[in-house]
Amino acid sequence: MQKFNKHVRLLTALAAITLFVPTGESYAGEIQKAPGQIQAAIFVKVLSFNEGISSGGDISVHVISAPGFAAEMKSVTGEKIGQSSLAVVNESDDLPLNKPSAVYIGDESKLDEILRYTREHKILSITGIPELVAKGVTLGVGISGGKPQILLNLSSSKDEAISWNYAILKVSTTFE
Amino acid sequence: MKNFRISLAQRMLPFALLFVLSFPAQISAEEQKTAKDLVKLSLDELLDMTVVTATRTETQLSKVTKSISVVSRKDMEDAQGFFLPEMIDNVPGVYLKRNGGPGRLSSISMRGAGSRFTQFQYNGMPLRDAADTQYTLRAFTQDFYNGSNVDRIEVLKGTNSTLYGSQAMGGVINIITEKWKKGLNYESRIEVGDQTTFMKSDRLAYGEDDYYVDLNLTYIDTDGQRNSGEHDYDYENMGISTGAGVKLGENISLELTSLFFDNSAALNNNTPSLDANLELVKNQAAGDQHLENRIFHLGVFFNHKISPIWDYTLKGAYSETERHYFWSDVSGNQSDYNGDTTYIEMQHNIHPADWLTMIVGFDYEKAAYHSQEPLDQYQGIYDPVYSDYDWYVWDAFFKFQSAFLDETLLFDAGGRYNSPEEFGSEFLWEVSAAYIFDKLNTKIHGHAGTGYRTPSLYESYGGYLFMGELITIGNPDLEPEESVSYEIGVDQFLMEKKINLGITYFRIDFDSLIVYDMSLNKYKNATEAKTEGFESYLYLRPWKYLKLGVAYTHTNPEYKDNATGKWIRKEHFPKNKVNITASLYPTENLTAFCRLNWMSEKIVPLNDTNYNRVRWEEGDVTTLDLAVTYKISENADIWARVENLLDKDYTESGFTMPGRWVYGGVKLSF
Repeated sequence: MQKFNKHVRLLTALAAITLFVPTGESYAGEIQKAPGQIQAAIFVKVLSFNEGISSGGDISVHVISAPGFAAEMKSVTGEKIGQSSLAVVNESDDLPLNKPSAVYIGDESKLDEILRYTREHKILSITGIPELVAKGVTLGVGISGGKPQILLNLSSSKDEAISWNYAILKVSTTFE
Repeated sequence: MKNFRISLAQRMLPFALLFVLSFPAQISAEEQKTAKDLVKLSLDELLDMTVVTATRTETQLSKVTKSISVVSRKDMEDAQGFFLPEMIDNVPGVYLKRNGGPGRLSSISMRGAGSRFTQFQYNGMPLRDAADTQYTLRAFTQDFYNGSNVDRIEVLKGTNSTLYGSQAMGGVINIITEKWKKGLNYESRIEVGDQTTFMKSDRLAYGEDDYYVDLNLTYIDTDGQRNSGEHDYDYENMGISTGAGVKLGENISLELTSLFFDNSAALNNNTPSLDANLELVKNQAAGDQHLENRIFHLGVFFNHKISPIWDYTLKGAYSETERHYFWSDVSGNQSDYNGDTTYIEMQHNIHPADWLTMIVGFDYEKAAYHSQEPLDQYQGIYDPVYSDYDWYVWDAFFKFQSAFLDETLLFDAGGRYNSPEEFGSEFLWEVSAAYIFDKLNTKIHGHAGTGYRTPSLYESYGGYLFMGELITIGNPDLEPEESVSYEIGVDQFLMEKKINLGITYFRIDFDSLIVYDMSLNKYKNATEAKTEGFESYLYLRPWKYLKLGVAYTHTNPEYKDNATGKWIRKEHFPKNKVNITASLYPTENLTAFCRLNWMSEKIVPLNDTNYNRVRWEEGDVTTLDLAVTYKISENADIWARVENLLDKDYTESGFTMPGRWVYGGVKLSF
């Protein structure tokens, strides 16, 4: 009888959960957010695959609604990225006033507005929120199975007129 | 200390004090390095930053100076691996011994050391059964199923007592759950198979930037195998694991993690033996006897990053285990073995320079054993007889991790002072080093260290009832078991890490091993033992369509016969073991996984018809498993898998293993 009761309780619990199918947005696999330091370090490396950004000159990154990441990114200003160097990291909760080389999206609620801006101005969009890559951000960094992952949305790359060195495909997980 | 019970409130008092006195945070240790440090690494090194616990701080896998393997979530998904010990068995140097199919007693050994020298950790905290005869988690190994929230399993091989304390003489298995999952996530996995097998897991998780909650349910029910007998090996297991965390500030957060199993399994009517012709008599299930196991573990994590160079972690865990053996359908004819463990640890990590990390900490562990047995079940007298014992241990530990020559020369050294209540104090040490030949993509590494295992409460005080009389077989004069361990190895990375291969030689010498002396009917420190061999691996990822792993382990464990002075091959271990795993990804939506296991022959001690112990040779065996998964949509996967595809009729330590077993399943996620 005890075992029977246990079954009833268990099945009730499982049924309740099975019936409760949330309507939340789909997730980019099982990829978690990476710490800001790792994001910053990987973005510095991966931007060198972007032929436009890395071919020479100063690079500026505008960080929207992610002060922690902005601080990490600022700590690596001066780093060489291909033939270029990371010169400026600005941050705000709004769209940049001047056209940067890349825009970092730290707030999902502003996604549509920012993507309209990056596509209109042909600017690379980047993020540390992995699920946003499947939703249209071009480049992201996350953690899966304890390891950092580079996430690349190929369709968005075209929308933002970003030209990648083919080698990035070897190290990234791609989305269409 | 015998016959001393304290209330639950008293047992929880240390946790209450910790909660009140401390501010918690679970800071992943990548945060110990700044972006400026990390940017010095190559992209390959950054992407290779599997964070592992080999050094007690999360460290890049490529910078670890010891042997460690990681079973990732992707590995488990490819194999549709729901049974975690089977996934761990793919790792070189690891041997999973199973006494049959689902729910049958299993144990994990590393490098030929007995399974009592394998320490289990759950999210970095020890998980033990204080009522186990040897204070291990062996009685629960077969119950570890993947609850969807398992992120990875780290397998740290060789003696690691300096960092992980008693028991970690063979190795450490750390099961790590996924944390800080953002958004609303739901996953439901259902699988059905032969023998009316039903497996289900559900996960519901929600998280924002500053908090998360995670609930996981698992359920397994199977009739199990029958082995041509009258009864099935029924098995049923319900599990709940949870996680929760909140960030209390930029550098402070609190996390809770819990694990619970409740399962029921048929007992053996007979264990394997030999008939008059020395042919194997198969084990069969009992119809009226069963075992119920429960485990409960609650862990609390406190971390606080005080400054860029200093952070500390405060952890606490409380675990309860219950094993109830029902010897017949008659009420009261049962034996109960319950244990509880309280664990508290504080660890400070100091990074005074880029090339140096210092770790200093202490831990406290209290274990209590409670048993209840029927006075004389043979005479039908079921009056319960109780036994209660407990003890505690304090430890202090330290470690230095250093890196020189542009992080190509790595050197670690550490020590532990161990002060158990009932035994003499002990100091342990370890050193390890690695050199990375950058241009050749080659790493050589070596490790040496000492280990110990404190006798369990049962080994010290335990006994059993026979015809109404308490027979004490425990020995309070036992000394801790000791070991010295060495390893040296080389890892080679080729073609931009598309090919990784390595080989490691290991040796562990044991002293004062605790054995059960049948003539004295007592435990005693008696014998010496040694195990040596090598483990090797080859991982290939030539194209994105294929992933291949080959692990080969050669182990030669032996113990000394005190009477003759001769070294004798240890029973139950295969000398040679090969695991080949291949994942094929022919299209984006299709994954095919194949696993081929081969084990050489083993020596198994079995009783003959005159109850003489015979060293029976169990033949070598090859098994093949297959799994094919198809992703129907972003939110749905279906799969079919077959265990023992070749329907091989074989035994493990004399126990009959299942034949071909077919499963099919579906996973929905939102």
